[in-house]
Amino acid sequence: MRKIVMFLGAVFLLSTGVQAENTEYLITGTKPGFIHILDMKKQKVVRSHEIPNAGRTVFSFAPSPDGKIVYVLTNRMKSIVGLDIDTGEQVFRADFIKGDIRRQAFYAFDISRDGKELYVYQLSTRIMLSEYQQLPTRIAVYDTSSGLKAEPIRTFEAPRRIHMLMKSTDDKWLYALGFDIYKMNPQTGEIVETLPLRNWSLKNRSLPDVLDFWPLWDQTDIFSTPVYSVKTDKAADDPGAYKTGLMTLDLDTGKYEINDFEDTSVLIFSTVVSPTGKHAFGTYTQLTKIDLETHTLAGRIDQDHTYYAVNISADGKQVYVGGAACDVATYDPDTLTKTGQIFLPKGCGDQSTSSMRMIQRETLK
Amino acid sequence: MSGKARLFISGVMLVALSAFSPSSSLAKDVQGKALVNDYCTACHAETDDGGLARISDVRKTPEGWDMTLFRMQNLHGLEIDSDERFAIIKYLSAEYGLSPSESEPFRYVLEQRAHFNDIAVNDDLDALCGRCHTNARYGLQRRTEKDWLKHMHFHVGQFPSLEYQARSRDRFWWQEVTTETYKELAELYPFKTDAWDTWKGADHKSPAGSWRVTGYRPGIGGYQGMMTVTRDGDFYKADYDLYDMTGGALSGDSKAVIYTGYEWRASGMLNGAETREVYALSEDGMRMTGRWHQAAHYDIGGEFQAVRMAGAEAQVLAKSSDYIRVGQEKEITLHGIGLTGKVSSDKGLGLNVTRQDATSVTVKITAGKNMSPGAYVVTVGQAVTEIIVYDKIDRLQVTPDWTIARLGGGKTPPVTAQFEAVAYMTGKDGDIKIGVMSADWQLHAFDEEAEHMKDVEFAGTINAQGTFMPGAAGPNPSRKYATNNAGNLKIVAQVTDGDTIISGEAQLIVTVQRWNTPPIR
Ligand code: HEC
Ligand code: HEC
Repeated sequence: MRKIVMFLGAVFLLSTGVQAENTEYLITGTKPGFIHILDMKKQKVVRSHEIPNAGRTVFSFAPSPDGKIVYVLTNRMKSIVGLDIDTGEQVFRADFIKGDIRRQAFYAFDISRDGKELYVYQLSTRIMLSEYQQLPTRIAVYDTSSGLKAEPIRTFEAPRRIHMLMKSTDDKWLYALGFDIYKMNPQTGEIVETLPLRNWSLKNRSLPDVLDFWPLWDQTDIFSTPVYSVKTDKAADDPGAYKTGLMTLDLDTGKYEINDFEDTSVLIFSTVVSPTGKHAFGTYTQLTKIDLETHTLAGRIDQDHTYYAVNISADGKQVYVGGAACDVATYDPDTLTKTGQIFLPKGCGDQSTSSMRMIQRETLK
Repeated sequence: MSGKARLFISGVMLVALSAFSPSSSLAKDVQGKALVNDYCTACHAETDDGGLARISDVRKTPEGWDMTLFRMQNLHGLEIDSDERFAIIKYLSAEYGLSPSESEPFRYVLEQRAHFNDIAVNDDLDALCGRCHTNARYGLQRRTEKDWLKHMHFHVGQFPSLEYQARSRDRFWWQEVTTETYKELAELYPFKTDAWDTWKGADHKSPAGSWRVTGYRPGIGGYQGMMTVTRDGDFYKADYDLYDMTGGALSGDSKAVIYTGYEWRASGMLNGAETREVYALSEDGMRMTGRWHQAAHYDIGGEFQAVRMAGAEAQVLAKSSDYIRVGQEKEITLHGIGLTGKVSSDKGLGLNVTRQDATSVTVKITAGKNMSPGAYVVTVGQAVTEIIVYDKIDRLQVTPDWTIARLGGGKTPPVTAQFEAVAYMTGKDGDIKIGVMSADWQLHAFDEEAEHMKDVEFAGTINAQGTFMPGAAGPNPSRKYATNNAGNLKIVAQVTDGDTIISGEAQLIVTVQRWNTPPIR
């Protein structure tokens, strides 16, 4: 879908005779409430925008399909703000608090592929005079054209403990990752299928442990995440009892897989699938390379420090690690050597758990 | 947490030596009651039975009330000054407190110990609740079933990441706590108990009087002496006349409040260092036990025990040493009350009294070459104690065998770890404890990973008294991954016993600072 949109865009531009140049950018965020647009090929920060009323926090992002706007979960998880990537102007804002009901989004939100709707998972608490009351967790849908006082256009209840929402590329489905992966009708919230995680049927296995809130599928439309589990038929002191696997969910085809690739030896926070389709990369203290054909560890190096998020260039030739501190480093995917490092501007209070996304858009002047 | 993260300043301790010293009348419960009616009713509605919503459904320790009031201020905008906060805590702990028997199992957390074994009734509660704070935090509360449920709602409303964290995400946390756990808590820790009804109606004893004190400072040794408590308006003043086992003076005083009829909380000075005292007065008013610590370092302090002089039976409360080696001669002083009687012992131990008064007896003890090792009873009139005679140390145990220390820096001082080497000998019916020995202390990497990361070089140092002093907090550019000075260490103690060297080991995790130190961790 994304490719088609880009193609159509190019046709349109050609027909009007305007030469538009496209560039790939990386978007990251830092406390106390900034987003930064990085040109990775030039190794330079090209825009830094302050998020209005950010409450000193930045969490996950969803860029619009045309790369013009980035929606940011901010303000202590109580607001989503849409910022014009070029100018930094606030063009959209949904503040969740209404009357005595406080709502917070725990990272999970996504934008539809037509750019028209935002899907936001919300925890809801009624603040009464002398007590708090939990209300059902829900998904709220916002119209991206609602301006600065956006209200949900529809809502539906959703299971608890969701940490990732993902639209399918044809916009027909909404995947919600929590105890399992729930495939939902985005109009009604009806769960049409449950992709098993907690309910997986592997014999002699503990429950899988998954916690991921980094949407990093920009180049492939494949969501991937590490899955940790324990073989219950092995002794607790047997290193072979602890398995790290990679789960992939193709948002295009719906194909869903989990494959172990090593005995757990390091912690991995997030992973990204390379556009080559041959490898995935994971980060935390080490940069890990996973062979997707043989489901084996293909390489690993120690990074300078811990990073939380990993992404990759559209041509698959540069791997980026960020999140955590105040820099984004570039690695060569073949040799796993560091080839670059961009330090984020002064005043950076660390990227914390902010997303790190890749966009293609008209070159920023 | 709201944006304005405030520092927790205790409202329980009277900071007697600083500007804040509430006027005595604030300790009167009528004052606190009036303040509760003035301030809390804005949000806490009066209930049909004349109570206040939530407030009359819970019981807690003074520290528990202090934490709740802090939250009312910090999250909900309650505005009270420190005098008023004190008066409200005083009143609420009297009206909705815990009986001595109810607080007894969890005193370790009130006493601000750096090392303790936190008690969970079962593994499930430990995972559901004990992973974020001590199990003592809820073990020191009593609530109606309805209120335990409300408190579960508060938790998820206030900490939205709760269900996502490790040891929550492997279970249906919310479902479990709102269908089962709250009922379990109401059974374990019910609002209405006989213990509380009885204690609330009991005749609470005054701590005023003269007390025989004995105590112990880990890493340093025992101390003993006298404490005189006098009434000071609605407070109490304690004067200390204490000595360590080598005769060095420890003197000072403190100012105390009694909460709930038995909870002694005081601020004072001991040899020039500011202290805090957390003691419990026994129900009969004859004993006071607990721990004091330095105001600025909760990890540094001493065990404390006081026995009221008036009406006490003859007893030995402490000794300058617990043991003697076969073939040795050693002067040991027994400290206690009513020690005027004849000094005698089991056959074989040589005794020669060199000094004796009602509170102390010094005896030159001889353990002949041919004595068989074991525990020997020594009596002073009606008072009875034991001296261990040993021929060799069979085992050295380092205590605690596992603990943590915290890196220090900025406004947060380091949290030290104190180890002791305890010697044992093998007896006919199992090991016999000899006592604490002075030892040589060493640090080693606990495992390969710690070896590889050179933890021994970075995590801290240990002194001759077995006190581990952690390194500085924050990232360390000279370490691999620029990581902080955390470490996983093996602590080794060595004691020379005759011609042999006996050693013992423990594990120490050196970890990061706590970002807050609430009075109930
Ligand atoms: C501005 C409103 C407000 C005021 C004033 C206020 N409270 Fe609260 N209180 C709340 C709210 C909201 C809750 C529920 C959320 C929570 O537990 O923090 C609560 C909960 C409580 C609870 C139950 C929770 C627990 O953990 O025990 C107690 C007890 C309590 N308050 C005591 C007090 C006392 C005592 C005062 C007066 C000194 C007071 N409050 C004043 C708003 C208020
Ligand atoms: C995610 C971590 C977390 C978990 C899990 C958790 N708590 Fe807490 N709890 C807290 C924090 C933080 C506070 C301090 C709240 C404050 O006063 O600001 C607290 C406070 C409390 C208090 C004192 C409240 C007061 O004002 O007196 C009690 C009692 C308590 N928790 C009980 C429980 C029980 C029971 C469970 C398990 C069912 C539990 N907690 C699970 C984090 C947790």
